[in-house]
Amino acid sequence: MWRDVWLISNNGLRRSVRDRSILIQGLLAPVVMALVVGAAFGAGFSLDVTVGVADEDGSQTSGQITQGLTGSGGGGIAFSTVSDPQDVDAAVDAGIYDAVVVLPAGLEAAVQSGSPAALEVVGSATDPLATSVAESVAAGVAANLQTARVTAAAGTTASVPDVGIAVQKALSEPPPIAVEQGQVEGTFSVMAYFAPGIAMLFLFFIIGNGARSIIAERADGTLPRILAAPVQPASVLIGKTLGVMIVGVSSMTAVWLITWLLFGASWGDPLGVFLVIVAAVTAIAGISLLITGLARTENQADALTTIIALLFAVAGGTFFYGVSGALASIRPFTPNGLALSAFVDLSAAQADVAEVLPQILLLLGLGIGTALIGLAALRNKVLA
Amino acid sequence: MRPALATARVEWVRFFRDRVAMFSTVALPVVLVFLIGLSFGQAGQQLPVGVLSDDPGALGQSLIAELETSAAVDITVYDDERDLYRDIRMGLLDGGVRVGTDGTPVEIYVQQTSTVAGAVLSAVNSAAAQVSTRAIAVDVLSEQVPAAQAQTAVDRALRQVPAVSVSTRTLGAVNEMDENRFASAVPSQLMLFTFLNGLLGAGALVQARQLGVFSRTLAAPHGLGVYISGLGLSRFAIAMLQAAILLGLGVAWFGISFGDPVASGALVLVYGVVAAAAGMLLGALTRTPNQAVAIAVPAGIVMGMLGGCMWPLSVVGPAMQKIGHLTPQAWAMDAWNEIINDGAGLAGVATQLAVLTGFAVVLSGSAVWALDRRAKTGR
Amino acid sequence: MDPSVLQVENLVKRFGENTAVDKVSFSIEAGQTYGLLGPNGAGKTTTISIIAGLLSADAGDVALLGEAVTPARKTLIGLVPQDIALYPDLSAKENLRFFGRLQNLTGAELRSRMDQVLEVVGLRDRADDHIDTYSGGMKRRANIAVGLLHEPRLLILDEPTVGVDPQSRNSILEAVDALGGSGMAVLYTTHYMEEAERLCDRIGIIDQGRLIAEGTRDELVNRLGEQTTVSFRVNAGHQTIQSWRDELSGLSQVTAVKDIDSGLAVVAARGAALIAPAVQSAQACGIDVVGIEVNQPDLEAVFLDLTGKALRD
Repeated sequence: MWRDVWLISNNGLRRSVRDRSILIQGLLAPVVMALVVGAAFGAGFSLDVTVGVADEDGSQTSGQITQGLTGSGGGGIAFSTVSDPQDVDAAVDAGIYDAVVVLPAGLEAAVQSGSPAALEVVGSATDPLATSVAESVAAGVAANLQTARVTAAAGTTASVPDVGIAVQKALSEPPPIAVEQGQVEGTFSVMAYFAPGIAMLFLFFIIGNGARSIIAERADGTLPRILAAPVQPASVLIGKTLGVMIVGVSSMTAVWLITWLLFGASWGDPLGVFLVIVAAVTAIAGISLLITGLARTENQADALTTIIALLFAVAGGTFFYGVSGALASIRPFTPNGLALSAFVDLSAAQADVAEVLPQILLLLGLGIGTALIGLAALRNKVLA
Repeated sequence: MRPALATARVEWVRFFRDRVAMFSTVALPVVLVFLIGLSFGQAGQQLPVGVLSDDPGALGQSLIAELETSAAVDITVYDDERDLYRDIRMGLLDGGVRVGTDGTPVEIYVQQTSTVAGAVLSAVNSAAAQVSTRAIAVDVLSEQVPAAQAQTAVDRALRQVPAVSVSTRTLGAVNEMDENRFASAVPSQLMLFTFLNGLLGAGALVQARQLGVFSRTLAAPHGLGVYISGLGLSRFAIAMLQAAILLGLGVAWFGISFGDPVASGALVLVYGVVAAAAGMLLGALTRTPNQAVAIAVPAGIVMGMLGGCMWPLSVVGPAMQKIGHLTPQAWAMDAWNEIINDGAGLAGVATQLAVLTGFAVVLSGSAVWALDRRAKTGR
Repeated sequence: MDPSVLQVENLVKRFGENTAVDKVSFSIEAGQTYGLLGPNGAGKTTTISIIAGLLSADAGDVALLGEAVTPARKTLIGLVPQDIALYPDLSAKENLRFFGRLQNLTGAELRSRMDQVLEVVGLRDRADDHIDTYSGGMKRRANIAVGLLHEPRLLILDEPTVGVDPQSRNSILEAVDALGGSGMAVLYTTHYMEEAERLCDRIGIIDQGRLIAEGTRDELVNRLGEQTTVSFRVNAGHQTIQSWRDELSGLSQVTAVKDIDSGLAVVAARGAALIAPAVQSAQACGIDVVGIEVNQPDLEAVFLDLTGKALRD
């Protein structure tokens, strides 16, 4: 029996190797698409905001603030003094600054007298992020000014001997919350997300074709010929399924090795990755067998496979990297989404096999369950 | 003209009998427009930052609360360190902030290659300053008067002194395609699927070649060009149907204005011809319908990625933008940008339309040449 | 006495209301070629499918060398289906290797058998080419080669010459003719009378699922006696022909008159002598005779006699 299973699956493999469509869909398409995404986003999101500081007040306080800000910056934000504070709008419009923090005339006086004071941020509608960053900077400046004037007011009330020194100290004292900078160890390539996702989309087509070939071979006469040989009918179905799965696992493994070894996109713990690949292929094969078994004609099976493959891919997050809302919540209910979450755990979260075991088992369970129903239906259909 | 129309009619009817084709060219783009529009908020307003709340004290909690109101960052609270690191590595978060018990420093994490550290740092510092006013004031005053006295005075001052406020003024108008996700999802999906549908026309062409419909058509007096234009015409008609559905949906459901109707109409027409011609070329170059489809789908998606249908080209580097402009998709998306965001008319998108016309001429010319060669060599 | 290679007894197969095979019985001895002759849809392929174990019978028995067909004993059968049951994207050799291994052939034995059958069907030169590059006739021959590969005791050929050019057809028939000499039993289905006459030692005539006559070619033809069939093609309406038919039946020595396409066929002891009076009576009825054909007794005539219709409709 197992010899026949091997013979039949091996025959399927031989034919798959010749099939250029499988090479295109199973290898070329996922690798090329992952490379395109990698080239587009490989460098990660980059921030480059220039915030202008316009000192319209010309006071000691505003001068100190300007000095403080222009002396800081770095890490994506640069500060520079606006040379002509009277023409802030023109400078922002011209794109010289992405946004400007304006220290309005009378700022020092207002702060010292305790009367209402306001800072202004001028930004461009087409660059909301730069405006937000400038707003946040201004809020920090405002908080410091507020601390100074609260200190001054309270110092006077409490009859503090030297209010001036207290205010100076308040302005220079760091907040009681220390801020330290750290780094997240390990890198992640977006290719490690898109390559498996796209590979799974095309696996639906490749494996679906393979499953449908069982029906096609019956019509072509090759299946009856096989059954006329001393072969157990069950070994024909198992052999076909096995052949299709080996094609699936090989193509996805090849995509993995190429993106990893040639293009440096690590998918994480190799054992875990391989097991998730096997589990994902099992699930896809099971679903394909179910579709083939339940469809009335080969054409109907073809149609259903295409539609289900595309729906699963879209819902499973194949094309969308990081979303929230409705789309995110339906993800785990698709085999693609489930497998992708395991791949992400392995690559981005640096998980080990044990931690992705739940996804692996779910995928295997889904695959085996659907495969059994599909094979039972196929058995009745093609071996009757 | 009549034989071409007859061919187009037959292909059109075949298309409507094919439910998969209907699904993938008409229903799927609509589904995608909804999903994209609903799943992505307005992009590019705030930096997504994760906060790992690690048993914070009163001060830490007020810091988190302050960060929630920060203009620069959009906070998501995490309680598992690894989830936070995962999302930072993936770039789903631009940074992470760990807030521990009072007295321990707040830590900021960014990716190794990240350029946003400064913005995150400034946002956290700003929030820290905002929650520290009382503590600092009490601290510096306690150096000169008893602490209890300083506290009473500071609390009173906090009630009496008005806050220093920040007001924001934005110049110019928001890009419609930035503000309304549907306004960018509709044209980008339309360009993606129009081209995909055009390429899938290759399958019909190869099939016709195999079935001998082709040689029969060649034997007819009107010849090859007529048949190809007929086949292309049917694909073009489907593209127009897609455009009518998606643009109609955009206007009626999402209230998008697609700008000058003459300009957007011309764009849809020219692009439809480009897509149909690309399909005829692919059909001339492939051997079996399966092969044609196996190439069409990935090719359509890759060109969509390169050409800015999957994400705006403005977010990728200059090299990728240049490569992207080798595809008709990029020129079409540029044209949509001009039309929708800047209210350009026909003259404003003349360059893009000229380039697209060039694509159409070159692609259809190559298709006729390749098919003619096939016909003459009998393959 | 050795048991027959194939013994089929009272085989019945129903598909719903339709009885596709109705109590069919026959047997084939070693070295014998048995022809199952009948029109399309007569039940030939169904019968074969049951023998090859692809379909189960509703009633009746199939014995191979005296024993029932178990999965392991299927290797005694070589089936050549009516379709080109080969993988078009594999070469003839690859197809042979695959199906040979399924029949438990391996190694040197497999290789030598492959060489032999490729020689027999004359495909040695093209053995490494993909099947889809073959002509129709070459595909047919490759199809037969697979059935011969494991030296079955019973070779089943299901309409092996359908849609084949005359030249290929001839080489197929020659190959099959040679097989009888090797001691193999051959079950050959066809709706071509000439093939059955040329190749088959015994012939079963099957129609509407029933085996209506069986025997050697001569036995079958002798059923008709020394009778000749004369077919008249005429230009006339149905009504007129029926009145002429009554006239013809009255002529001496006429044993049967049957309807054929646009005319009547007369079976008589000395048919040639009948032509003159028959044409005269036609003229009397106002009928134009446009063609006359005289046939010595053959299987076609037997079939016509048994069923009242021509073999090739």
